[in-house]
Amino acid sequence: MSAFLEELESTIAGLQTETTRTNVGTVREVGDGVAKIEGLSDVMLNEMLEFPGGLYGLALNLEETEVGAILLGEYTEITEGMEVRTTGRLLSVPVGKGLLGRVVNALGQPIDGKGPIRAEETYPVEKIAPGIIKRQSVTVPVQTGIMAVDAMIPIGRGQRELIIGDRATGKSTVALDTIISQAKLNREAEEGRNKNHKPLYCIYVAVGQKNMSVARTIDTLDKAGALPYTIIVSAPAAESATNQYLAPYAGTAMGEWFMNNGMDALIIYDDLTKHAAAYRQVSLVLRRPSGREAYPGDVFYLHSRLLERSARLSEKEGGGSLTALPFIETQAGDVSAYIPTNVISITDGQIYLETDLFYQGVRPAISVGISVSRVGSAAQIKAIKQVAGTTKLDLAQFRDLQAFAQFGSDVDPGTRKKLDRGQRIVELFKQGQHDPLPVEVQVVLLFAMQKGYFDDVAVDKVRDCKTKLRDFFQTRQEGILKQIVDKRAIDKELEGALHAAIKDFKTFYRP
Amino acid sequence: MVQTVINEKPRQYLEVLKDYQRLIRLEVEKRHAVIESATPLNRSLGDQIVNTLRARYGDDVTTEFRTNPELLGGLRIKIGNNVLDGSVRNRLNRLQEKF
Repeated sequence: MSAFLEELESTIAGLQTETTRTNVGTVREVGDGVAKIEGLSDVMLNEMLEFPGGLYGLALNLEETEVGAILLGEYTEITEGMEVRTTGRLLSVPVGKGLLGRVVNALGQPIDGKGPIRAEETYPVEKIAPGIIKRQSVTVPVQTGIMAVDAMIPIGRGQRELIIGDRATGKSTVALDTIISQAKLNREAEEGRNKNHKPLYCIYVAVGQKNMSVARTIDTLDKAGALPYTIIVSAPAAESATNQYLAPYAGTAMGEWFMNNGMDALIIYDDLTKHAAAYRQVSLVLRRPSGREAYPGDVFYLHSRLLERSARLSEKEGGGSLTALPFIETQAGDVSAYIPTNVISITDGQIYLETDLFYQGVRPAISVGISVSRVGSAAQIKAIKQVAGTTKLDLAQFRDLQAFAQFGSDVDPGTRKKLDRGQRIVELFKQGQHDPLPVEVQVVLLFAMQKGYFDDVAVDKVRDCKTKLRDFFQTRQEGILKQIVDKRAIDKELEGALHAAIKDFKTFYRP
Repeated sequence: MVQTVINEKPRQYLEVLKDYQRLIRLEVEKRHAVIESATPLNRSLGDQIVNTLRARYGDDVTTEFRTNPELLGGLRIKIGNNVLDGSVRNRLNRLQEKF
């Protein structure tokens, strides 16, 4: 007890407290989440400012005689004449594995009621993206579990793939399915059943969403067991525009920690349209000049500096990666509006989700013709490349001929074959919500389609046949599935085995 | 110059004058020092402080003395936008932050 007291006394004695020198200013105007401050002669751009009462702000506008700062938190207590201090620090958020499974706000504070977060490090929210020398090209796939994506518009680790569509077309579902699929693979890798898979941690940033949607997302992830591999950064519509503006950057800082430490992470920005709107609000209140559609002049820079931080680092830097899946919501399918065109030019490809397809029953409503992945087959394992190589072409030819199918007119056998095959491929790619397909099952299904095993199945029975074929392989032919996972390519031996197994299935398949 | 503006009355001259007043106020504040202490300072100590400030920041420094019992002891000098805080209150706060 006395030793403890002695230690305490020596610690107190050892503390240095000399005269402090701080730079201060006075609040002149406050409102709408922005404070105008006079003074602060030593302030730097993006510096954190301390207000009385423990509130912090960010200095964004440095003018000749005053500073415009956005307030991070409840600002109703701030009045004119209050003294503001500079802190000399940048805004930082806690990072590390301690955040996995937690729901945090834009400043990294927990909002799920599960206690404080144990974080060893903090990373600044604004950071310069890795330079050219530090990067490596994308070769490892992100298995989303959605067959249409993995086969035809593959996403690689370190890529930025935009998911663009109208409201209620299934954008969030694509993201959730990817997270659930990765969580399954992570668990398998942990248990030693899949040695080829490097764990991929997911960060879901919800900007401007309804509280109910975020709650539903958390619930879905929890039920699927994906929460231990996910960080959720939430800035719903009820939060201030400042928090909505900062949330994607905070999420990216958390993702960068994984990337800098040799691990892989995936970050989903849901969605950047609301992020741009929040930034527009902040800029207009700061009296910055507005441009097209009232957005400030640097709205492109807003998104480009965010998305450029997602990269795949070279082996020398640890080999980690950060994949980004930003969302953009279009109005009436107009992809040539301001923000959509900005983000399209920044990302490495886009996945279009169309309402027409959605209501026709094609879900996920991915429009394969205009969706593109600029990384392409470099991010696919050989097995998928072998079976899906011609699928995109078949679908393109089918779409061209679809007009003929509508009239039911007499067509020549070649066209008839293309139409039949195309219809079946469309049916094959339909998938249920939150039901990701592992890559080996996808290989089997696409192989069966490519070799014509679905040609004698009626179009409306294709989904049923697909489900039964999948069950058959997952229960009776686990050996073949494991071989596909281990070999990652279809060699002669495996091809023979697949043919035999599928023929076996077809003999007793009854629609 | 101010008299010319009042005589000539160009467009929005009242706003121009108000803004000018504000700029002057800011300039004056940069050269103004507020010296706070817990108890009133005696004359010689006060003069010593003013001379040191004048030596450091220039001869045109205007000074103001205030007493603030909350400081508990020591001095807090605010000159322009810089605050040199050696008060006991400040040291206690910083001790608290370190824990």
